[in-house]
Amino acid sequence: MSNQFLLITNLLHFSIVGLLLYFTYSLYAKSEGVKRNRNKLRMQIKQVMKYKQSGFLKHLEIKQMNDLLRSARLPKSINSTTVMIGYIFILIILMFLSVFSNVTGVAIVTSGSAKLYMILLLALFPFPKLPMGFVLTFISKNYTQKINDEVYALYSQLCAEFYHGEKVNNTYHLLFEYREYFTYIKPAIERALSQWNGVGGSERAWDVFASEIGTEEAKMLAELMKEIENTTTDNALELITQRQEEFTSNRYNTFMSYLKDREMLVYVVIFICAMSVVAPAIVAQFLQFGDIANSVNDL
Amino acid sequence: MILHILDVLLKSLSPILLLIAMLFLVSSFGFSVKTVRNRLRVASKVQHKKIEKTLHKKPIFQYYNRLLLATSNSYHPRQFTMIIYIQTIICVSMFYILFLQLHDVFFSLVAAVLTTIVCPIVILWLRLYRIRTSSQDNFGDTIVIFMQEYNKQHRNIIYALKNTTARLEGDTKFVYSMLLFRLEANTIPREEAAAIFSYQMGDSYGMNLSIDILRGLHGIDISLPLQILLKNYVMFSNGIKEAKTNGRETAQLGKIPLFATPLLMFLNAKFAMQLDAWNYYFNTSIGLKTVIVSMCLAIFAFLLSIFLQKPKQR
Repeated sequence: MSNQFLLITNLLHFSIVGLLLYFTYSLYAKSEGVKRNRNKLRMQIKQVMKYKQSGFLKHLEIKQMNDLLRSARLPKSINSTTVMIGYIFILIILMFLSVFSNVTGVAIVTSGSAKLYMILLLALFPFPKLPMGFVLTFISKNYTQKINDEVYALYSQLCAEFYHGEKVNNTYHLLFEYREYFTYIKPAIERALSQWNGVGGSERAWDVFASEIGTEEAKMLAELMKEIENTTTDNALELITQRQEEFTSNRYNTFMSYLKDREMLVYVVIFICAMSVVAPAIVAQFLQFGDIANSVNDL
Repeated sequence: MILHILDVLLKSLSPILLLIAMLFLVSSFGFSVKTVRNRLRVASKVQHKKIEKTLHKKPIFQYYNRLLLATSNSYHPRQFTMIIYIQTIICVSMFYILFLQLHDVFFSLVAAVLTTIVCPIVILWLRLYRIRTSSQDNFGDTIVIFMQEYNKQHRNIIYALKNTTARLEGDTKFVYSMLLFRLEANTIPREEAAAIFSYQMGDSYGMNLSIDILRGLHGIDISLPLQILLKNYVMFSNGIKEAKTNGRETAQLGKIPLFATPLLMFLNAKFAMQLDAWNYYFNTSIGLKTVIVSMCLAIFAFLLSIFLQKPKQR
């Protein structure tokens, strides 16, 4: 049995014992009504993270990383400061462990595993043109694709309503009816509906809708609906049929770019899998070379 | 020797001993196993609701639940917590066994997580992708059939869906029949069933169709919206059918590694090596790791190529 194995079993043992002790303490505290005063530290940390007035945290705000993380719709607690603090913390722990293993001779972090951890940390760093950056941009593209699908679905449902001719309800009522069927653009529709009877009227509401979603298709839909509000129903049908080609061409282009991305992704995945064909043979050759070299040295 | 064995035994048994001691200690506060067991049995429904609330609130679990609903026909949402528990138990036990065998924390952790958590999700996702491609390719034909049946059945959605499923094949049939089953059986709300239907389609046209079906269930006439939907779809899909196969053709190369990896290993052992190659493949830790990783990658590539095949045209 190696030293590392023994050490980790010991660590597991002590952690289990520590957990049990903690549970007994918490049970005792609950039964006795003891309250621990840890809220003070938490409040202090929250204050520092919120206002970022200290000199050290100012340097950790990186705009590119924040933009990338926001575009992928990750929770707001994951921003550049928390990511950088986590990275610094992990690096300090790694350094401490390596020094500890050097001093005691127990190999927790060997040089090989340290290199592996460093490569992993670099691969998981959320920054453009690094591996994690590609993943995040892929996620954000996927998200905008879903939103565009919903906007297009809303457009074609409104289209179908206008083809009915004379029996068209007003657009407020239509939006109110259709908002239940959508998930991603539902908040934007509700925000627009709340503005409908306000100062700017329906135009202001459609502006809010476009700015809330922020994609090009939403802007096109908003402009079309603004024009429709000012005309009769017969002209509205003409306007919709005119804009149909614009919508379909836009959709066609996004679909083609998606196909290109998919082709690239499939190619990369298949290439990585094909590289693994030669891996066992090469590893065996290297091991054999090492053994032969050792036996030659022993002679 | 005996002392060493005793030491190991004590070390491995001490957590259990401690647990028993803890039970005695806690029972002095008024804790008994019997009442807890009875309470659990009585309050299993309440507990299930609690777990459902906490589990379904998280977006990852929501995604997993929807993926399972979209890809398998024998899954019910109440089995979700059980699936999660089984996966975690298998993951932890596999990690422990691998760690005892290989003495490597990192590799065993990664292998356990990959095989028990990532692999099922990837396989389900590939199945969903296959369902999506087949239903998108047959969308024009199916909507024509659906319109015919809708007019034939005097604008009754359920009967129209029932007759369309009889005339379909393959994964497209699966999608429509699952929608019909969920609308009829009331295992989940109708809106959720329609949302899963549009998720299986993965397209704005599928979303439109699901909205139309929901509106039809409320008693609104949807023959005109269906016609417009078909018109829009034909306008969009004319120039795209050939471009759709671009990625699928390169994916067919992924079938090679599953046969090429063992073949190359055999050829290497037979002709290129001077010492025993099989010893290096399976009896050293590095060799075993590379063999496992490369075979996993080969199987993954094979599955990918199967799932990216062009679906059969009806």
